[in-house]
This record gives sequence, C-alpha cells and structure tokens, in this order.
Amino acid sequence: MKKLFCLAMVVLVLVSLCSCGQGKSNDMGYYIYDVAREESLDADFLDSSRYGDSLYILGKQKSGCVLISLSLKDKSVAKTVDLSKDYEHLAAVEGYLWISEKSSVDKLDLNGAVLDSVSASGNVVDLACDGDGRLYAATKKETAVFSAAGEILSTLPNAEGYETGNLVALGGGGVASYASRLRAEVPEVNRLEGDKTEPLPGAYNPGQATYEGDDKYDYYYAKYTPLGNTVEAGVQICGYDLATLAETPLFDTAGLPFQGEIMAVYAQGGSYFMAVGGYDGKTTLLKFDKTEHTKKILTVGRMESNLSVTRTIADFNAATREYYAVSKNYFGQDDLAETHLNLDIAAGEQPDVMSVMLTTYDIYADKGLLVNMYPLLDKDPDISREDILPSVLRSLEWSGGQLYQMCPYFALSTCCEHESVVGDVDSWNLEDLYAICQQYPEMTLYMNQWGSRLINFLIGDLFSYFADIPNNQYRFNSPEFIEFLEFLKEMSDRAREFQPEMNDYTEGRVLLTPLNFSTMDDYKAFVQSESFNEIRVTGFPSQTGTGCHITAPVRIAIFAGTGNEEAAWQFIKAALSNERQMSVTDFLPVTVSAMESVMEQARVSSPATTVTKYVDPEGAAAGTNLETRTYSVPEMVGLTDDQVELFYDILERSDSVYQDAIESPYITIIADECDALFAGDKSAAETAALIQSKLEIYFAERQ
Amino acid sequence: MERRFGKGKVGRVFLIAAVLLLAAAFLLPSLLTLADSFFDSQEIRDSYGLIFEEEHYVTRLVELKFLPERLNLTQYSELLRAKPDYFMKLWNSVVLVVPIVLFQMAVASLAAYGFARWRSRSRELVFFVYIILMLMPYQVTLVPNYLVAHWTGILDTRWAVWLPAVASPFSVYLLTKNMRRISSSYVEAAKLDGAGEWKIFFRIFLPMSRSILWSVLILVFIDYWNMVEQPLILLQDTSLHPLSVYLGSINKNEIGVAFAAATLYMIPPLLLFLTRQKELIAGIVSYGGLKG
Amino acid sequence: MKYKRRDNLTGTAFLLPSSMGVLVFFLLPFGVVMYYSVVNGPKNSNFVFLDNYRQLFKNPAFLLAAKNTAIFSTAAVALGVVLSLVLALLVESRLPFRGFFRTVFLSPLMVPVISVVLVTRVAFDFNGAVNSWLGVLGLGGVDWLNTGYSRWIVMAMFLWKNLGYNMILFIAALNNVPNEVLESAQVDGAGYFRRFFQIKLRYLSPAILFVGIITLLNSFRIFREVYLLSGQYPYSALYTLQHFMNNTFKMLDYQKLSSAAIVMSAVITAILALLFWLESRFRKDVEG
Repeated sequence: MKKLFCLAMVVLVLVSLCSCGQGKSNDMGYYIYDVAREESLDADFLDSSRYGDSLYILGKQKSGCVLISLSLKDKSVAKTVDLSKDYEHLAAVEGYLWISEKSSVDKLDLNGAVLDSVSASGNVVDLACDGDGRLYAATKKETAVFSAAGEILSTLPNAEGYETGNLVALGGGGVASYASRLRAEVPEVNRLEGDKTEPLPGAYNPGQATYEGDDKYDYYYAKYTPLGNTVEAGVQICGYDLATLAETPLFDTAGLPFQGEIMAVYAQGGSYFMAVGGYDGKTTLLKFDKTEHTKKILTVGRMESNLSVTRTIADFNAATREYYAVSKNYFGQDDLAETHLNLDIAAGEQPDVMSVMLTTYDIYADKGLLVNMYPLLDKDPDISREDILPSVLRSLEWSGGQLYQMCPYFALSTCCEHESVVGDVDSWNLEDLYAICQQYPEMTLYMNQWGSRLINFLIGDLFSYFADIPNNQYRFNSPEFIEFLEFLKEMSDRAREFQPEMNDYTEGRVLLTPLNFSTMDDYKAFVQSESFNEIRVTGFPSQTGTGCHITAPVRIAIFAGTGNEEAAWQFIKAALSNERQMSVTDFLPVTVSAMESVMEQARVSSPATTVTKYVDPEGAAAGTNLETRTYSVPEMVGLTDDQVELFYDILERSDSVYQDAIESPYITIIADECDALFAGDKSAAETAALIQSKLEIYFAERQ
Repeated sequence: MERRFGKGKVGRVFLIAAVLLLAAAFLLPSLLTLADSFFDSQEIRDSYGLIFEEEHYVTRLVELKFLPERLNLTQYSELLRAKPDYFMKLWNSVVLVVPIVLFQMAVASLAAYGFARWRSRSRELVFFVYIILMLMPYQVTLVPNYLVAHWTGILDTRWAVWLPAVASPFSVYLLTKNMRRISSSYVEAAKLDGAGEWKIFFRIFLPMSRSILWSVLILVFIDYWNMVEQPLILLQDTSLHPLSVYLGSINKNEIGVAFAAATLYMIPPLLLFLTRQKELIAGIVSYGGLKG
Repeated sequence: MKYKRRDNLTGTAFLLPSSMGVLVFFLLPFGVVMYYSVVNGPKNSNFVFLDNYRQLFKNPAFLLAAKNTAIFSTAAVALGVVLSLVLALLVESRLPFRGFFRTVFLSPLMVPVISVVLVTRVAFDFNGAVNSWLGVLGLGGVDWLNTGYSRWIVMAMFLWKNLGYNMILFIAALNNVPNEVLESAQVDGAGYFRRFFQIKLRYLSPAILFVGIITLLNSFRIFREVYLLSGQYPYSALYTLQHFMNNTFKMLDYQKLSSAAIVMSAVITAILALLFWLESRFRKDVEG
C-alpha cells in the first residue's frame, strides 16, 4: 500500500512537470464561409421567423407591411403578401404564423389571411414559438403563453421592476427571455417553457444580436463588437450550447462587400442564411456556403478598451483570410487584470498580441516573453525601419536596443516657459529650476497645482538622476533628494496661495506650461498664439535627458511562443497601414509618410470664406427641395518653415515614453509617501528616508 | 482543581478589573463596527473623512465614536436598495462555504480516524507532511492550483474553490489530535462485540468527538467565510464572488456603507457561534471521559 | 499477519479521500513549486538548478523579509502561547461569569478583516485617534505605522485575534491535569510555583506544542491585515516573506516566489522536527 502511494505521487509529480511546459491548446479555428448567393428584398426588415425549411420575413414598405416567405432549401422565388395592419413582430409555427400589432396577436395562415386573434395584457414587445408549438407573447412586465389553438396557458411574470427586452426561441426547447432593470447591473435571463421559468446559466447576453436556435445549437449570436452588429464590422457568428455552456465560432463577415445591420441568422443544411437590413431601407438575404479553407483565431489581449485597436482588429479581419482576430478583455477587474494575464501566461494561454495603455511591459520583456520586432521589421517587404519616425522608435526601444512594443499613434509632450524668466535656453536642469524659483518668490510651478501632482511633472525626467537602476544604487536619502523634496514642498505651499492674475507668466508668478501636442491643431494653437515669440520650449527640467517625450497612448506587443507570431506581426502592420495612419484624428501618426502629409496639410493656408450647400442634395437634383444653408469657414493659417522646423526639433529631442515615467509603480510609492510631506506632517528628511527604504525593497525584489 | 490567584477580596477585585479591561479591549472593534453602522454618511465623513479622503492636508483630529448622534438605518437601507448584488454575493458566500465545511469535515474525520487508529512509522511521516503542508501560505499553492484547475477545466467554476478547500489538512490535524486521545479500551470492547472498523468509527468515535467536530466546524466556517484570495484568482466570473471579496473591494467613497455591510457580514458566523457555543466550549474544555 | 494487512488496508481506505485530495491540491502544487524554483522562467524550461537559490540568498529584499518573518513569528508564538496560558489560568481561577468572558475572548474570530483594519487605521493613522489623545496631553503625534512601533501594532492585532482561541485550548488542557498528582505534591509541601513548573507544565507540554503550531500558522496569516493596512510596500519592519512572495507573484517572477517558498518550508520542517523531538523527550518523563 505504501509503495502504491509513493508510486502514485511520483507519477503525478511527473505529469505535472510535463503539463507545465505545455503550449497553447488548439486555436478553435473554423471554416471560411463565402457568400454564394445574395437576394435583395424590397422591404425594411422588422422581424423574421423560420419554421422547417421556410423563412418568413415581416417587412415594411412605403405602402404598408408585407410578409415575405421564401424557402431556404431551394431557389424558388420569394412570395410577397401585403398585410393590412402595421404589424411589429412575427413568430412561425407549423402551418401558420403569429403576428402582433400593439397588444393584439393575430394568427395568419401562410397566405396572409387572418384566422384568429388573441390579446395580450399590454403592448407586445416580442413573439416567439417554442418547439412544441406554444406561443410566447412578451409584454414589458410578463410573458403570456398560448397554446397552438390560441388558448392562454399561463402567464409568467418578470421579477420586480424588470422589463422584457426580447424573446429568443431556444433549440433545446423553450424560449429565452431577456429582461433588464434600470440601475441593475445584471439582467435577468430566464428560460420559459410552458408554465416553468428557470434561470439560464452562463447565457451570453441574449438581449442583443441573438437569433433563434435549431436542433444544432440552442441559439446563434453575433459576438459583441463596439463597432456595431453590422456586416462591415466583420462580426463573428457563434452557436451556443446551453448544455455544455460552450460557444462555437461558426463563420464571420469580415471582408465582405456588403453593408448593413445583421438582423437574423439561420442554418440550413450546412449553409447559413443571413438577413441584413440595409441602410437604404432594403433587406438583403445572403447565403453562406462552406469552403475548404479554415481560419485560425488570433487573440488580441486588451488591458484597456479603446476604439482604435478595435478598428485595427476590424481592418485586420477584413484584409486576411487566414486569421480572425478576437479581443480578449482583461479590463474590468481593476488590479487583478495583470494577475490574470500573468496566470494565463503561466498556463500557456497568453494572447498572441497584447495591447496596453497604462501598464508597462517591463516584467514581460525582461523574461523574454515578448518578440523583438526589429527582425520582423527588417525582413518585411512592405514596411521597414525608415518608414517609422526615428524618435518614436528610439523612445519605444528597450535598453538593449530591442523593439518590444509598437505604438500606432503618439503625441508630443514637453514644457515651455517665458523667455524673460528662463532665458534664451533650449534645456535646463534642477539647479536652474531652483535658481529661478528663488529669484521669483511668488513663482508657482503650474498655477494652483500642488501636492503630488507636482511630482508627476518633474519626477519622470529626474528619476534616473536619483536612481541608477542597472547598478542598484539609489540616492533617495541623499542631500540632493532632500533638497528636491523641500523645493517641492515650498512650491506646493506657494501653489495653495496662488491667485490667478494678469501677466502671470511674464511677471514670474507661474513657471511651467506643460505642452501636449496630440494633433497639429494643438501645435498650431501653440505657435500661432500671441506670446509665442517670447516663449522658450525647453522641455521639463532634467539632469540627464532632454525633457521632451512622446506619449504613446496605446502600445502593442507580440507574445513569444504562441505559434502565431507571423499573424501577430500582420496585425501590427494593419495598425501601421497607410489607411489606418491617415485616418488617425486625435493623435499624430507614426509613419513618416503619414506624418509628412499631416505636416503638408498644416502648412496650407486658406483665407476665410463662406460656403453654401444644399440641405437635401437629392431633392435639389430632382428640383423638389432647393433650400440652401450658408456657413462660414474660418481662415486657416499655415505653419511657417520655422514653425515646422521647431516641431521636428522637438520631435527629434524626444527620447522616452511619458507613460513609463509617470505610471510606474515606484512613482506611486514616492507620491504616496509625499502626501504626508505636502500636508506638513513630516519633514523632507523623514520622507526621504522612508522613500529610500521602500524603493530599496522595491528594486531589490527585481534583482 | 483551580488555583486561586490573589489572596482575599482585593486580589479578586483587581483580577476581575484586569479581565474586564481586557474584555473591553477585545470587544472594541466589533462594537465599533456595529455602532458605526448606524451613522449616516455625513457623520462618517465628519468622523473619519480625514483618514479616508485622498488628501488630508489639514491636520485635524479624529474621534472614535461609539454612540451615533443620530441613530438611523440609512446605511442599511442604502445597502439594500442600491446594492442588490450584496445579497447575491451573500448567497454566493453561503453556496461556497457550506459545502466546503460539510465535505471537509467528512473527509477529515475519516482521515483522522485513519491516523488515530493505526499508527506506524510511515503514517507518522505522512502526518508530519500534512502539518508542513498546512503551514504553507496560500501564495505557494495558488499558481499551481490555478494551473491544475485550468488543466482539468474546472477553472472559473465553483469546483475550483471547493476541491482544494475540501482537501485542506488543517482540520485533519485538529481532529487527529483529538481522536488520538480516545482510549483504546473502547475499541477493544467494541471489537469483542464483533464490530467492524466502520461501525467503530460511526458509533464510537464520531459521537465521542461531537464537540470537537462542532468546534472545528465553526473554525473552518469562519476561516472560509473570510477567504478572499482563492475566489479572486480562481473565479474570474465576478458574479460568483463571495461577500468577503466584495467587502474587501468597497472603495473609499463607500465607507458609509462599509460598516453596515461588515455588520451584516458578521451575522452568519456569529449566529453559528452563539447557537453552538455550548458544544464549542464543551468540546474543547472537556474531552469527555478520555484519557490524555 | 493476515489480520495486520487487512487492518492496514482498511486504515489506508479511511485515509484515501483525504490523501488523494492532499496529493492533488497540495503535494502536486508543491512539486510544481519545486520545478519552478529550478528553472529559468515561467515558460522557458531551462534548468538552472540551484542558481535561483544562490541569487535568493543574495537578495536584500528576501533577507529583510526572512529576518522580519523570523522575528515576528518567534515573538508571536512566544507571546501567543505564554499570554494565553496566563489568561487561561486567570479565567479558570474561580472567576465569576466565566462563560461570558470566554465568549468575549472568542468574539474576535467573527469580525471580518476589514473591520479590524478599519479600526487600526482609525486609531493609528497620523490623523487618528491615538494621536488626538496625545495631542490632548500636549504631546506631538507620530506616524505609528511607519516607525518601529508598527511591529507592536501588528502584534497587538495578532494577539487580539488569536488569544481567545489559544486560551480555550489551554483551559481544556488545564482541566486534564490529573488532580491526584497535584494534591499529593501539595501534601508533600511543594509551593505553588514549584507545582506549576514541575508538574503542570509537563502535563501541558503536548498542548503547548499544539497551541504553538496553531499560533505559528496564524502568524503567517496576519499578512492579510498588514496588506490591507499598508499595501504592497509597507514600512521596512513590516515587510515579511509573504509580502515578498505576494509581490513576486504579481511580477510574474515565479522563480523567486517558488524558491522563497521552498526555503520557508525547509526551515519550518526543521523547526517542527526539532519541536516534536523536544516535546517527545519532555513528555516521556511524564508518562514514565
């Protein structure tokens, strides 16, 4: 017995060792489906329902509602029948259709003739029929269940305060009802079957973009994307099985030449039908047939949510037939997000591509978990190092010269002061800063900014002066740092007394103006302001660097060892493509060509004019509506050569990423300890000693 | 036989006073939490705002208040009204903790019987290993537990929390210590009557250990009622999180509701404790006719 | 012979569910931890054997943490055992309302961690209650949690939580000291202290060991309170091995985490082995 015990233990330990090094589990790829047939229906989509091989669509034309029935099996022509009332919802069963208008539900035969009618307690929000022929009519507060003959079987009320959003017939029986309540975080999702109500486990938000199921899947749904549930967004359609709580990706609409909102999805004999509501009021029915090719899934890890990466994902999906990029969201869990990412890495489930905004890649790069992009950049036929702004590359580089992170757009961050105060200089350091602030006793750093905010301005450039990280020498309890802290305390006190007046800058009451150029308009506003000639752009005070940085809002990296590095690189290329770079509006592009064209546009001067346009262009062409509107376009002053040169000069001087300077955890440690200093509770020497001891521990952990 | 400290009345008064003082100190935090749950948010801000506000730049001082100026239940109503999740998390706590407690007791009492009845060198070694494993801090086993859960597919389900907890060696240790004290004469007598091992376990050891079982049960309940790290890491679906996690994450703005939340959170263990107090104390105080 | 083997089989059967669980959820993870401590990184499996350990012992953060943990745990076990023994003697010595006192001393177990942390914050923060009382007396305030006094504060929190349970355990053991021996010693003329140290203590030694182990276990658990009080990087005197392990866990540095864990287990094993041996020596005299 003892021996068996030991043996079992050894076996289990060995198994654990093996599984530790396991790579990623399979990619859950799926087949590519191409559009085999498209059919245009002249009606605005309202609702649809399917029974057997027939599909019934309730549409709206200018003249009224129509019922379109067609067969999913063969290519017969669709039949259209006009309806008398303004119907809203539809549900099909064997032999006839239920169709609702406000609170009455009519029973129609397949030709559109009204056979019978039942009534619900209020306006009907949605209709559905389950596999047993029962009709579920949902009003806001409850769902009434009717038998096939139209007799009311039961009424299933919602929970207090919850209003039904919609019903979806489930393939496994019953109907899913989705109800939500104002101010409640969690919606109520139940399975209704006959007279029973039970909660649905793990249901993926059946409220939106969920479509009725069949014998293969309980329901179909379009995977959520912030770009909207449209064909052009490249949405992925999945099937969900409630028994195993498993979602299976089926096909996607990336790269298709159609546009419109996805209204319904049906599976028929290995193909898929999709009803698309066009923006022109017409409905298109698309038939998707399976091809031999498969797609793999590329996981894009997201630490924060932003639209540009989402758009890059859509672009990437539209451009490639081999991969489909899917977001893996780590955000929403506060400081657990990084822990979950770390655990995924340990388990071999790291995403292929990673996108972060506020976090840094330090811990991943130092462990060799990221792919150096320079080799990929060098051997790529379409893009090379020279295509990207050298300052950006230089700022993103790691200390060993590797390029672990890429940013798709950036902003310039620097600082300027008034010439009369700082002199005709291009850069300055701590001693200059102290001297100036002594010279002007009323001087504040930046108006009424006091306390730890002051640290954020200055510490980024000064940190390397006090901390020699490679050699593990920290001087936070040195006289220089104590002097620095005392200086900050003094400035913080002055800031509390600050009252804005005229000529604050020229008379030496406010020193810094931090500058952030996200767009050329920002830069234009700066250089075209009246006092520009008296301003010196010096950057933040720094002992070792230039004080100018780039701000990289989004940084993307590739995780090593996933097997999809090539595709991940294609993803980053999609972010650097001309189309994406030229369409960046809130930031500056990183490619040289896009930057040049942005600069060209900024040089353009045009006088102020007025423009007159037709309010309704079509109406004007037809002669029906000739109304016009006039508005004025302000003068655009282009940049002069000198100003352009200054911009490039600042750009050239930037050598680090601003986020790394202010978001690093060690800055937080300093800022937290300084709270007491600024409150007057502790002296600078005491605070410095505390900071030194804590930072020593912090960096010792990382040795 | 008790030993009397201090001679005469003076000594006794001194003794009682000392113990009373100590008792007051012990009760302080619970009473404070209870009392503060009746403050309204304004009063909390007045009393504690200085500590919990982001920037305290004026050195004002704080008072520890026991009696609210205005006794009101706004905290509770705020909790019930604005945070319906609270009760869902409470339910989660119950669903997580109760099975853990029941199954851990079952598995542990079986194991304790195994350790108590048969003693051999190898078994002592295994028991020693149990003690070492018991002393491990959770960070040690958390990552591998995560990996194992991921590998077996139970991650993000309640099983990922239940299974490691059921296997915890802590209760095995406590129960074994106690069961070893049961005299072997009982066993011999039962064997003479022809009873099998299972019967001995069920009919003799378990009833004799009733009190210690209850006390271990209460300890384990309190232990897991307060667990935070395991659900955080192993359950990524926040709708499954128990109340202990939720309480830990109430941010500074909600300090108002925190007291009421904490008070309500104290109630189940307190109820368990108060109702089973007799067993708890009795079980530990007298080992019921057992030889040391 | 047959009897013994069948006995052994049934014995193992009783142990099976528990040991299977311990195997999968404790021993197996321990094996994984050992694996992590001898490789290079969380993904690259290059064996570096004892390099991680060598680096660990040179790491100032680890050394500080180890020192603090050793100091705190030793003090915690010593104080926890001695004080609860004294308390048990106090409460058992014909005190009125014993039941009430027992309940009160056990009540800290119910209180959720954040309440304790809240009260401690409120009391010892720089703007907290203690400083306000000192202010009334005309003395200046001190940022208690960032000074050497912080250890005492944490110790107070720890003792508050654990004295009650330890006390109950000792009361139980005290009740089990056989009266005859004590009475005969009294008859022989032995004084109170002699009776206590030479007789009671020997009978209490298994209980002392037991309470000591439980207290040691709880001294590691105090990490949660300290973390909620001071965050990831507390004052240097409060930085324990659990802080080290927690921070390296967050940094994905599973190598440091694992090697520190192994070192910690080795030390605990050694200490426990020593304690068990000592106790068995002590106890033998009594039973003999």
